[in-house]
Amino acid sequence: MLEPVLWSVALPVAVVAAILAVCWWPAGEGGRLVNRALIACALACAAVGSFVASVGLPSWPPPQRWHGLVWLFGALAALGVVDALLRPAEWAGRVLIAGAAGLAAAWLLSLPGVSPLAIGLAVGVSTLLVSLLDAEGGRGAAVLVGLWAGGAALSMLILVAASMSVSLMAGAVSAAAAAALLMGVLLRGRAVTRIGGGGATAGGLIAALALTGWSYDYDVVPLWAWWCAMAGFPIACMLEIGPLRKWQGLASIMVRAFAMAAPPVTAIVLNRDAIQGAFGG
Amino acid sequence: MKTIIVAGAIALAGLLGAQASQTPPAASTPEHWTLDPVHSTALFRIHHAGAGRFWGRFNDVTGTVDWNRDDAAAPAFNVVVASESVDTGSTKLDGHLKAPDFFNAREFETITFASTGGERVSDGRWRVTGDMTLLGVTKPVTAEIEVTGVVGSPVVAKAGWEATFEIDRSDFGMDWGVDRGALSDDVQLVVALEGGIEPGN
Repeated sequence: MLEPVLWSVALPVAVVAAILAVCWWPAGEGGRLVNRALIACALACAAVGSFVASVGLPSWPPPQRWHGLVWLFGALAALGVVDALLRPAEWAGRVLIAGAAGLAAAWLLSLPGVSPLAIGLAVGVSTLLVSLLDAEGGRGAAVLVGLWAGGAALSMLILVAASMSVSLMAGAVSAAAAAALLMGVLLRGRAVTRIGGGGATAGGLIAALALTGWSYDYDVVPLWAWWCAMAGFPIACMLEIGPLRKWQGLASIMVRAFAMAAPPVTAIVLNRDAIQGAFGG
Repeated sequence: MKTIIVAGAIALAGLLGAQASQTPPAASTPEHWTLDPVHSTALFRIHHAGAGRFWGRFNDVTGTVDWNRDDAAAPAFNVVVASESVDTGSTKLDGHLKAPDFFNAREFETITFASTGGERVSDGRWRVTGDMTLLGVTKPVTAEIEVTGVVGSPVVAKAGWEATFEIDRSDFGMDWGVDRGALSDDVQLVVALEGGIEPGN
């Protein structure tokens, strides 16, 4: 169990962390944009690296349906970079990016028992929601916490559902989110409110991984657990409605991070026996 | 007396007619055997972590064999194995084997073998070539076949065959654990088949 994790999670994340360490840009608007774009790239690169370590180099057309994931990861990296460069108020651009992510998912990712329309809608809506969240000032760090927790929960649930390769990809995405957050705050001393970027990529990645895990599951993982692992971002979106939207500062980030992390952590806690069993094998 | 003679003639004619309908097929004309899923199974053996060899099986094996019991020509197999029927005695391991890393049973419901030819090795032994399809990838394989027995009458009969062969699973795109030696690439297969013919087949 340890060796696949080293190859498919630790190695991609170490590479991603090295890239981020070198490329965290000095302060300034240009530097901020580069930071944001790099975080989007880092998240997708971790997923691609994990796929390559587990499965091998991608081929086209994908020999198995879930192998389309790696092409979708690439598309989400490109779209995430564009999204990171948009000004916060450019919601129309974000809708276009989410639409492109949905189309890419419907085309590149074919899953048993799930229609292309459903795949496109799920990935597109998730991309839009997390992108809009990330665009709000000071929400980026909370988004990374949400991806950290959501990716970890998905990784464990997918492992219970018995798909180790996809589980490792979710684990790599989760670890990359954690690395981006910790490197920004701890190593580079960035104010936590300045951390951000990668929202569109995060939203697309987590939806694609959850759908893949669920579609190959033989009902080992209860349906509510899949929803729970994904629920952090929609709940955080609700905090952006009404007067709460204007709430800023560290406390607001902590509450938002908690809102995003609590549902996936709940999914882990309530499935702990099955998760322990999966790790034991 | 006339009644007895007529009845006797009718009975004799009936017996002769029945005898004619039970005439076995001409030599070397293949008979069509339908596999009995209860008494057919596919076993696989793989080397785990360079240490032990463990066995698993598939419980749902169906298909047909075209073969004449005079054994003049090679049996022609058409075998279908349900991927979901994989059984190692461990629910957790079965789950992993059904998952995308291995048999990907959600996507590829069956593993199939279709004969393309065969050559006699000795009495009751054949070397059969065929196309095996696993994970949507079709590759030629060669199986050593032993005819394990034939019982029954010309019209109701059972026959058995046992096939042994080896594949490299990576040839079919099943790569999990190969490069790091967690599981061997080569897999030995033993497929024990029992087929039957019944009137109407």
